[in-house]
Amino acid sequence: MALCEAEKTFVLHGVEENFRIDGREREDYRPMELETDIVSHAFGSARLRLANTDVLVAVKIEVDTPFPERPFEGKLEFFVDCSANATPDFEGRGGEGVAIEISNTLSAAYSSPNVFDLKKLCILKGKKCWKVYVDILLLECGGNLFDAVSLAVKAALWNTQVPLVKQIDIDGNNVEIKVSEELYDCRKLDVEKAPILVTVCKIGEHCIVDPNVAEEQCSVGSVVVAVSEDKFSTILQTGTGSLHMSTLVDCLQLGIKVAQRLDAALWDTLTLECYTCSTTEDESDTTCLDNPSGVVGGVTDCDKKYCIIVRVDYKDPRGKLASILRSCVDKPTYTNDVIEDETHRVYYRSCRTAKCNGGSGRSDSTSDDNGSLGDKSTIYCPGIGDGAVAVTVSFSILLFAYAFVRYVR
Amino acid sequence: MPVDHKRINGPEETVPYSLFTKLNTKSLQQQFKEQVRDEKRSDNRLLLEHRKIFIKTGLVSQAKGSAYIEQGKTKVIVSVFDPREIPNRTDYSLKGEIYCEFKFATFSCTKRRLHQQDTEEKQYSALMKQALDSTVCRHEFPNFQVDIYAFVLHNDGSALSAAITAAGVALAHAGVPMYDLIVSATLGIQQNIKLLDPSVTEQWLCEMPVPLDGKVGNQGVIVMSMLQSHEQISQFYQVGNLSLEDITDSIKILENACKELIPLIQKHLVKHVLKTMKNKSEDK
Amino acid sequence: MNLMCILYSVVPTYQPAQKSQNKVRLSQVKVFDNNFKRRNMAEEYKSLHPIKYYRDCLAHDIRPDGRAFDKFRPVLLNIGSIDTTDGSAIAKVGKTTIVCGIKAELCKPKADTPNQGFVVPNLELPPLCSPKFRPGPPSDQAQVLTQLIADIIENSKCVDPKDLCIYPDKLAWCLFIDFVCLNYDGSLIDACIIALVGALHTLTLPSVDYDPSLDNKLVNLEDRKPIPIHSTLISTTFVIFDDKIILADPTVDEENYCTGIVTIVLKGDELCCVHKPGGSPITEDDLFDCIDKSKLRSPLIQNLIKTALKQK
Repeated sequence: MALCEAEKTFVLHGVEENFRIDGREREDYRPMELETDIVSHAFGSARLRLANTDVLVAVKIEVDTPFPERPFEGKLEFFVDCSANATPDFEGRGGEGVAIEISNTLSAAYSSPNVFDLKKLCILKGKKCWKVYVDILLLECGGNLFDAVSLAVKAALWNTQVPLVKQIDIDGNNVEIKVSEELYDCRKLDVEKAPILVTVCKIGEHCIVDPNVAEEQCSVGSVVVAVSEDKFSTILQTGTGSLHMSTLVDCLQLGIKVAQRLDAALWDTLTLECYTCSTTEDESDTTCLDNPSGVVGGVTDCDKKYCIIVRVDYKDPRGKLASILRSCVDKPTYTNDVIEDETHRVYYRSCRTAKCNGGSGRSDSTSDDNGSLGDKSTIYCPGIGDGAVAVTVSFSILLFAYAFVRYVR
Repeated sequence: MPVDHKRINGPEETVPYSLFTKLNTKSLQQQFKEQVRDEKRSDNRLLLEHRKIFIKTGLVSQAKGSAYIEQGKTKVIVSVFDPREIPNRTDYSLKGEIYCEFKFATFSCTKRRLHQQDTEEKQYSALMKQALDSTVCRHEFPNFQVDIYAFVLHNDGSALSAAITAAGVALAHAGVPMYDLIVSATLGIQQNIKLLDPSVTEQWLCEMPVPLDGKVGNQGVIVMSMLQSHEQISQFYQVGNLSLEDITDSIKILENACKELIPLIQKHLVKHVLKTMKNKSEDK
Repeated sequence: MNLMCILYSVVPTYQPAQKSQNKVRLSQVKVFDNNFKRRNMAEEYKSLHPIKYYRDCLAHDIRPDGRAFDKFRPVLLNIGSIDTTDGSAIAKVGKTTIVCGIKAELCKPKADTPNQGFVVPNLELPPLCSPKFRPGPPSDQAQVLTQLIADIIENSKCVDPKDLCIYPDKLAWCLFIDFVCLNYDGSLIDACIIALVGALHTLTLPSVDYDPSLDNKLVNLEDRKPIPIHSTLISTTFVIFDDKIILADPTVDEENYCTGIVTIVLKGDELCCVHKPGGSPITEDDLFDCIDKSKLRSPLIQNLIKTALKQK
């Protein structure tokens, strides 16, 4: 897409007035949609749509041998593939440059052990480690690739399930690894500190974030910052222009501010807030049963998919509470059921919205204030329906999340 | 990996012998203390002291312009060629292009490198292009491409900086119009210790967190290239884990370092121009 | 054409800040722009009719760079200057510059030659050294020359692969000998061979304690030893111009316009290899003449290598 001078001036004036061509302010992001766990054969996946930018990320894990000079570390590799349909520029080998730039920047951003600890991917020193391949597919380019890719990568890594190693047999130089066969015997990667990339674009005298294609063309120079918590893990200048020192510092300040907001919004979307507490008949404190929001520290940001209630009642006297557990799990034993034996009746309840496991546990609808979700066959059954919608509006950043769940059986 | 049929390949698997030396039992902290002791470095430099630079132009007689730089033990040679039409391009571009290729010699580092460009070299090529794009008056040669090749003979840290500085000199030697002279410097940071122009070991130690006095903190490496008289930063690259204050401090340090380098390069170029003029008048 | 003039008739136009006192200004630069024309008569002739220009020169019994037909260019040798290698040398023949670096790694010998190590030479002609080369896989010329160097090393037995074996069938050295051309101005092989000999003489390998029962190796870095070098090689290149004139130690232009090329490699006083890849034929007398000339050159270069080694 080529812009004429008049169009460029129009964009420039918009930025000056803090009212960009699509109505945003300088520090605003366009709306985003994030789906996780959408590629069934991958260990973890995510798809992010940021207005017209569309990115699909899939994570694959293999057992590999560590580098001889780093025997304690696993491997993490990024590969970017540009779909020829993403933009006309990508026809033939046109996307190669962009692809290399993105994958190199991601490797640099994830290289510090403070950001992502490769030692956790080690299985047996110097012999076996996990190698994590992060495959990034650019489906459509609508500007601001770096930011979109980094968000999708973080979400996909968060979603990734690393199989648990059950047994290691060492016979001389041969090492055999037995992985747990249980489907849900997995652990998650620690990606809390994984970096978020933010492109800060200088247009005229001002810096903006999340440029669209037109704005990218008007920019004289931009800075990509990778931010993990309150630190920079990578800074890279892109574009053909040069920047004054004070401009660079301004860009960095804006970048770190926006990245932290973005990270918080992403984290809110990925995690599920559940009540976590338990009580039994012997305990006098029944806050967990009656009013779970009153329990100190009783709400947790879970990285699991379901909030659950497991309530055990006596049959005799009927309805007397034996114990209640509120927690979060990846795979509930029973999604929504009542199991009876000779003496007890056990209620299993699960749901997928924030703090939805606050109810008594007896009724189908897990949360009392969520009564509309009554029909258990369509809502709570995994694999069917689209579950819940969590909308997080953090400052001016919109992040919609549709979490689709599909189990691999 | 696919077999390279155009070169002579050795046996399928070879390992560097350095892996089998007596186990290095020194902790990272000890290794770091060996490099930096009482504000002095292992080569007796102060923390913010640049290594000595030696520059020579015209080493590659076949190229339009060339420069050879020695920065401590780091040795880089850069050559610049005549502009040629941009290959495989159908549309007309109003601005000329810069093509950069950065390569380490197979024997330039402790670990042997391969003949093909690896991702690190590709990344460095892109950074070099980033630095030079805003230095060269590209509107002076529309639809043409200037090829710049940098080759590292010996890597003792700060190779990218050395290559960018040398590329600036080589471009001047080739007579390619530029807005300003470009100089570049590298800074390694480990907690509150900042090391200007790090050697290869120092750079390696700054790329990972080293516990010093029981604490682990910020660390990183920054490469910055500047157009000094316009006070513009044409390339900035950081890796590691650094806070905003660290970075603003580092920018100031690097700016001063670049300022100190400029007169050296100017002096060299003036000498070169005077010599050329003398030679030409003798021809007459 | 016009564009080139704009670009290159002007000498470095670096313009530091307006404030700085820069002694060389564009007005001064223009002075020798006017001299450009006269000085360039010869060069223009050379670039328009290169072959004719050479013939005219040679008809006056002199080469364009002022050498007589059988004169060699000065040779420079610098050894052991790259300490990330196990042995290195930089050789300059005239303007041709070759860097040779040797890196040794450990490997398992081949099953059919259990008591031999490996020597893996490769010549790189990067785009840096001449506008002839483009980035990408090695050019045909690089492949041909690499093979020639490999053959010379193998046939001359200057390094015996048997000396590189540490423990038969288990462990051996692999010497990666990489040549890089930094400036391509003819007689590449000559420069390569000088650099090779220089680098081999500086090559030292650490001692290795190998325990075959456990497959344990321990490398002792303090105890480095040179490897035996069985012969000193000297190479000399000649070109045949217009089927009759023979020029020693050609420059790149002479190589480009010649009709044939002969490379003679001597091993001490013995003839090791004569490489004549096609081109115009050479009479027996002329060939013997070439061999005699290279024999005369050989002690000079051997002396050079010895001096370089002593200075180290």
